[in-house]
Formats: sequence, structure tokens, C-alpha cells
Amino acid sequence: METKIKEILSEIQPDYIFSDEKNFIDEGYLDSFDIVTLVSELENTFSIIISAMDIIPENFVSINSICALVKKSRKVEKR
Amino acid sequence: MNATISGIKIRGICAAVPSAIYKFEDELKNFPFSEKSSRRLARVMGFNEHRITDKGTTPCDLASYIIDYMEYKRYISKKCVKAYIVVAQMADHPVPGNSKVIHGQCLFQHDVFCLDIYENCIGFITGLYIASGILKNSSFDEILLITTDAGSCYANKSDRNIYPLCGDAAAVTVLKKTDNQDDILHFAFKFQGENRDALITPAGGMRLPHSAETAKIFKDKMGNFRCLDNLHMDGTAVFQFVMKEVPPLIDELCNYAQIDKKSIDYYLSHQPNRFMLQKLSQLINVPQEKFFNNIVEHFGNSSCVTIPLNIVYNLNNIIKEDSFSVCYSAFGAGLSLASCLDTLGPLDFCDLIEHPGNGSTIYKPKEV
Repeated sequence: METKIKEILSEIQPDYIFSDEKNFIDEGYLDSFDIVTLVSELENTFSIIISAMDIIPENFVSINSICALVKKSRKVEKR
Repeated sequence: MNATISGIKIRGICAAVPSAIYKFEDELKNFPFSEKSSRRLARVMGFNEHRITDKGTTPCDLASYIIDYMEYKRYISKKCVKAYIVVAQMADHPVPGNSKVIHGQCLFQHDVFCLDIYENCIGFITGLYIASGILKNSSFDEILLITTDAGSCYANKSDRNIYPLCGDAAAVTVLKKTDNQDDILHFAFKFQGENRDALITPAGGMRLPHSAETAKIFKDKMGNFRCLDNLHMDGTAVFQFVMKEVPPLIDELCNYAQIDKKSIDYYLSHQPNRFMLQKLSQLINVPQEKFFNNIVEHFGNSSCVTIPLNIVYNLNNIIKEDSFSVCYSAFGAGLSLASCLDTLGPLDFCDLIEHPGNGSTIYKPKEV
């Protein structure tokens, strides 16, 4: 999952290297429109629906936080 | 704030969009981002094409053209109009107001009542509330609610966050008095003025008058080029506001009106962008076929006109024959929220026409 998420991020913002040492929001790697695109790509790639209430900057600050969001959205889907 | 007004019904709606179509594909080169990235965003947001007036056409021209069309079709008679209100965020002049310009253009009688309301995205619902209240307490039987917008000129053409979404349009909604006390409109409004900076045109008013300084273009932290005279949106803040506040407002309104949410046939929402509407419909738990999100991709976001445009574009084929339980909902600058429950239809008319440009106020037959 991590590899796929890194691929998606690099597609959206090819100018940056997305590593876990960086905070993607504070560093300005992702803006709100990048997040919109990312949400759509994650939903299509992992066949999930991300709740609107989870589309907050804190869930997109790192690879780990994005992974956690995908996992959470998968659980909600299964219910 | 909640309110209920009974004995009032929408008799018909006509809307007009500029005939000039601007395609996102042609505007890609204006944005300071790669074409691939812009196309990807376009798919999600619904950027496709939008309608924008030429420089010679104002919000009043759009509205007067519709009124002339309505007289041509015999939906109304100008000399019989007794009252109308005009809702807009753009004015033909600082003085006098749009309603007086339209009065002169349409040659309405001298004894009409006319009023201007400055309002943004919730303008249709605000106008519906005020027009219904006026009609309920007056001796005349009908009132025109004119919503018109030519807000695209507020946006910088290089601002990918705003410009592709912009659209110009106008609509005239005719409200009538009825003897049926089941013709009920239920309203709800909420405001968060403390968050007004999230969607704002910083300069051009008295707080920061337009100047050479405010017209200077700068690159914002999202990489877009704009100036203080342009509309600016904090996308994250507006998105969160809508997602947190709109679903409970609709729930509260349904409880207040004692209407089962499941009995609502259509949710006729203001149309900011496709992504936000998809997420909102998921939160409200409404299937896509009850919650249209196709106005931005065909016409752009025309602020207070998107709801009547939504009706004439999406319900035209059925609303003249039948009635439906509907929930209007709007949100935007302010920050503001409004919702209204109505039984819409059967309408006497529900038309969408094109405005030919050049400031025309006289209809010449050619329907969309």
C-alpha cells in the first residue's frame, strides 16, 4: 500500500520526494486541491469511499497518516 | 433561524445563460500548473465548460432579457407585474440599485414595489424567504424573484482554484399566492461571520478600496496568480464548513417541519463543484439520482442562480406535469448556510434560454 500511495503522490506532485521525514502539508507539498485529487485517486485505486469528515489536512501529512486513512476507509466500507 | 410561510407556491421559472461557451481545455494554458495535473483535477471537480457574459452584458441585462422572453411567451405581462425583488452580488452601478435599472429596462409600471438584496450563494433561498413574506402580506397575487449573477469578473483567469468554476446566469422565479394552506415553505438559515475570510474578495469595498496596489498580481501559497481585487477561497475551510454544517441543518429543518427526510424526492443544492457535492450527498446519505451535481460542468457556478438553473436543467422534463417534495440547500460566502423544504410543481413553465450578448434586453426567438 505504501508503495502505491507514494506512486500516486509523485504523480500528483512530481517536483517533490515524499518521504516520512517531511510533513506534506507544512512543507507545502500538498494543497487543498492536491488533496481533492489524492482522495479521488485513493478511492479509485483501493476501491474505497473516504468520508468527507476525514478529508482534513491532518490525514494527509505523511505516508503513514494516508495509509491509516485508507485502512480506516476500508473498515467502514466492510461494515 | 427557522421560519414557515404557507399559501405561497412557485408558479414557474425561466433561466438564461450567456450563449458564449468557454471550455476548460482551452483555458489550460492560462494556469501555472502542468496540463496533466489540471486535467486530473478537472475530472474530479467537474471543470468542463462554463458560460460567461461578454463585457457589454450586465446582471440586469440578463434579467431583463428573461423578463422580455417571459412576456413573449405570455408567462407574464410586464404591465401586470406588481412587485419584484432582485438578488445579486454584482451591481450595474453603485447607485441606483439593479432593481431600478431593470425597472427602466422593462418599462414596468410606476406603482410596482421593487427591492434590491445583496447576497451571495444562498441568495435564491434568501430571496424566496423575503419574496414569500412580502407576497403573504400584500394585496397583489404574484411576485417575481430575480436572481442574477455575473461574478466571473471577480476571478483571475490564471487562478485555477476559482476561474474554471465561475459562471454567469440569471433566473426569474414567479411566486403566487394560493388558497391551499398545504403550500408551505419551511426555511432554515445559519451564519458564521467570524469565518468570512475563507471566501472573500478583499479589496474593492470601503474597508480596502480598489487601488493600483490592490490590483498588483502576486503568486499565492497554492501557486495561483491573483490580486486583492479577485475572489479568494480557502478551499479546505469552505469544504469543512459545508461538510460539518449542511447535513445537520437539513436534519434540523426536517425535524422542525416534521418531514421525513426519506420522503424528499430531490435535493436541489447550490453547485460549487462536483467533488464537494458528491461528498455532501454521501454524508446526507442520498443517492446521486436525487442530488444533481452537473451544473458546474455545463454552466459554471453562478452563485445565487445555481438552484433555479439546477431546476430548469434537470427537472424540466417532469416538473410541468407533476409535483415533488424538494429540499433546496445553499452555502457559501459569509460563511452562510440556508435550506428550504418545498413541494415544487407542477410548474406552468420551466425554461432555459441563451442570452445572445451585447447587452441585449429584447428577446428574439431561439431556445436552447
